[in-house]
Amino acid sequence: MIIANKKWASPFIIWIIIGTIIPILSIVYYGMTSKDGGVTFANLGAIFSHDNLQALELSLLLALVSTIICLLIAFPMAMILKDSKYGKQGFLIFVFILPMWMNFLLRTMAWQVLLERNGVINSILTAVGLPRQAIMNTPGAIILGMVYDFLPFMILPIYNVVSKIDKHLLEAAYDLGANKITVFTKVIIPLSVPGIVSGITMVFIPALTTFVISNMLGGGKINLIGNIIEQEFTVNSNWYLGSGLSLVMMVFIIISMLLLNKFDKTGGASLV
Amino acid sequence: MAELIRLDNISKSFGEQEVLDELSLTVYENEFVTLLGPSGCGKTTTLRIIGGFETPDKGRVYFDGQDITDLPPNQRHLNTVFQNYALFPHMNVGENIAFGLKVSGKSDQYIKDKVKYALNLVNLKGFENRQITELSGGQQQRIAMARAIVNEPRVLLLDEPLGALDLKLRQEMQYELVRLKKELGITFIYVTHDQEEALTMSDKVVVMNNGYIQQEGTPEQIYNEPENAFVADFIGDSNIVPGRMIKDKLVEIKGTEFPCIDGSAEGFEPGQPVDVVIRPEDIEIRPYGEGLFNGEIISKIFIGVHYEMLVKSEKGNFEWLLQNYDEHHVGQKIGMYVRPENIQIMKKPEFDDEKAMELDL
Ligand SMILES: Nc1ncnc2c1ncn2[C@@H]1O[C@H](COP(=O)(O)OP(=O)(O)OP(=O)(O)O)[C@@H](O)[C@H]1O
Ligand SMILES: [Mg+2]
Repeated sequence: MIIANKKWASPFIIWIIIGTIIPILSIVYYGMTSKDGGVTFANLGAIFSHDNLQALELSLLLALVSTIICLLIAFPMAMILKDSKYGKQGFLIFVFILPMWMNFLLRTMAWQVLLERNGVINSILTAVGLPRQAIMNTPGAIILGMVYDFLPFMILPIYNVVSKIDKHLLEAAYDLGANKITVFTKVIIPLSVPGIVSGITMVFIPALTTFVISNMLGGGKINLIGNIIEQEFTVNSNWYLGSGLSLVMMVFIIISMLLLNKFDKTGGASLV
Repeated sequence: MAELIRLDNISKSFGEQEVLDELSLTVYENEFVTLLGPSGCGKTTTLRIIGGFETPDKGRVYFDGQDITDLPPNQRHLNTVFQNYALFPHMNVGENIAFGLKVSGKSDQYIKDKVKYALNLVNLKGFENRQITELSGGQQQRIAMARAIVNEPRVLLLDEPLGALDLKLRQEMQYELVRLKKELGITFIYVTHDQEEALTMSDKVVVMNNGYIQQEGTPEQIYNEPENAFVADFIGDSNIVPGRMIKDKLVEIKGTEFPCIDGSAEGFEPGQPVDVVIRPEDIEIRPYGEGLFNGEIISKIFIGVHYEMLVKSEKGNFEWLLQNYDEHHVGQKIGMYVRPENIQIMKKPEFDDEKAMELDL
């Protein structure tokens, strides 16, 4: 049995080595060496340069705002899906997930078409006699793109936990005198913490590191940390600096995940 | 005793399926009422209508004289112990018990004292900080009780609260529940499909089937004087036999005439077909030829205190179920006697619904 297990495990181990360990090691290697081959911390320290700090700050802010918006939309949505007849049969949830199957670039490009100076939205605005809005190339456009792209990743895990909450628990809470709001804050939300945590993880991290959305909807005018890292690799061909910044981001993300997980373990009681 | 809860002509359907049909029931203050019936007969639905979790399609629910049919559960002066306990998994024992008190805005000191008192009452002193997952089934059951009673409801609704426990614990908890009820001095409405549980604990038993109340009465009445074949069959092992009234206080069963105590006074006319119930322990064994009828023992098992036997009667070839403390042997021919007061005569079912149910037996 054990031998068989080992045999079956080997392709996966090879996969992990090729797909995860080698890339991480090379990032660590590049991140900690200088162009002339010596060990250095300069690539890591580069995060503290004015431009990079500013990009990091903006990335954090946009990712945070998008995550919060996603959460605010997703929770009520998950509750509606849970209670609706179609939700149970999976039809509504299917409708929500449908965009996820479409290519990410296409989806973002669709927003470009909508938001452009001569795009669909502005055409409608001018048609009804309203002034054109400069939506494109603003932080708002990026947040819109992030929310649109990542919302399903928030809805799914929350829907999953919410729909599994035993309805007798809600009835018990009503039975003990709670009103709808108390039931929501004291029972439903605390029991949804695992879903909220994984939803936040699945939205916040890609939003923090994205460069495609900011490229396409920010018009290159708004630099997120993802854009800076990308440019180091592509435009400047400076793998050392790019790896150094990636490494910092990685540590950053790992720490925030650990914090979130701790939150999950201590349970929801402390959340409200 | 004052009337506390009254169900007035309650009907309830789920889609096509009619679960309750014009059910009326009165529960008095301080009563231990048990709804008893087979699975799917509508016991839980009845309880949920009282608790406010289901709205009846027709009929009204009265509490203390007031119509509460449309009142939501959080505004009713009653609490429920759910079948699966429904304890909040994200709270510890103390927080679970305190939930109702916190919601109603009681002071911290009051809550603390009350939680302590409730834990004492259910014999789980000092369990405040335990997690729900660290409790056994019986302990969870007690916490569910404690969580309900700290709110001082006037009525406690219990839906098969002992269903998940093993036999021994169940019997222990039956005594506990009766003791608790006495100490609290409140009304219990209890749901079970276990006839023994119903008979041991209740002041009043309501036997239900197919959404109808079949009989309502004290445990003694239900056991000794079942009103129809369904009740007789559901409450313990019985010989349920068709018979015919010969004259006042004389009934013919399978070719034998039995003196009984029912007759014209109870509305049984000569010639009328009836159902007769004779409990297995009420058939006395006599020497062959000295009883009312004779038979041959065709099987025998020892079931603890007594023996249970099947005896085939010479007349009518009917297999009677007997219970006796003395051992007899398979193949032995015996005489049998039944005292007139132990012969329970019942009307044949009149309604179609009841007929359908009789065929199931
Ligand atoms: N929410 C519901 N939707 C549809 N049918 C239901 C619903 N609740 C109950 N029923 C049906 O109503 C009937 C009575 O159910 P109920 O739960 O009252 O039975 P019960 O007497 O409590 O049975 P048990 O002893 O198995 O708990 C059952 O046939 C059940 O399938
Ligand atoms: Mg039930």
